[in-house]
Amino acid sequence: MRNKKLIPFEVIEKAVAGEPEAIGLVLQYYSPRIKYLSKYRGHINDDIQDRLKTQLIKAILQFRFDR
Amino acid sequence: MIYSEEYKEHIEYTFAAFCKVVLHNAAMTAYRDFGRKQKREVSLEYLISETPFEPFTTDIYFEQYDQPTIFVIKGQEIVVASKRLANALSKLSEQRRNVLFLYFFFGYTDAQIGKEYGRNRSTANYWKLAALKQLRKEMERLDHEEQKADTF
Repeated sequence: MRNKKLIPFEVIEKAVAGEPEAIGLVLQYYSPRIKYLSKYRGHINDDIQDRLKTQLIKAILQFRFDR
Repeated sequence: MIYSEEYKEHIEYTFAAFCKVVLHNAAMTAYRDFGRKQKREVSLEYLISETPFEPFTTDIYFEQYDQPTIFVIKGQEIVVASKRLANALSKLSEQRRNVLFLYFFFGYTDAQIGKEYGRNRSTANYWKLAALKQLRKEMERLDHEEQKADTF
């Protein structure tokens, strides 16, 4: 039984291959976490939020299945 | 390619952990950079009100020169504020000086200067270059003399 809360394998496969829709889904999935992490001195900092998003997209494309 | 359910599940968990770590690290880097920036950043208002010196400068015109020199070209007075430049200019011949003024102050082109004297465009260009060369020489000579005078 697969964990329903996680991003499905098919989406991960597409996102790593660089499909914009799948990457959008991943970003959406992590948006609450990004918002939580980009709180700086009690406020959501847009600069940090943008940085986190770009970093995540960069990292998704570097994800490797064989590890 | 067909993957087993276990493999898919494994990848899902791995990917989730991977993203979590990426976001965490990126956030830490971002906090660090922002902290550094805020440490060094000072508002302009604070600079203006708190610093003992003026945070800006105002340019002063015509004050550091005691007597501006006036040249008359084509019935128009040209004020040369720099004494150094004026001295060097006065050493040039009338015509060479006029060519320089026409070019740099009146905005004439080479062709227009040539017309003024009934000569070619290239002749005017030559005059201009020769005048500039001589001007440079004169200025260097004057500087040199000044230096000499200072050392004695």
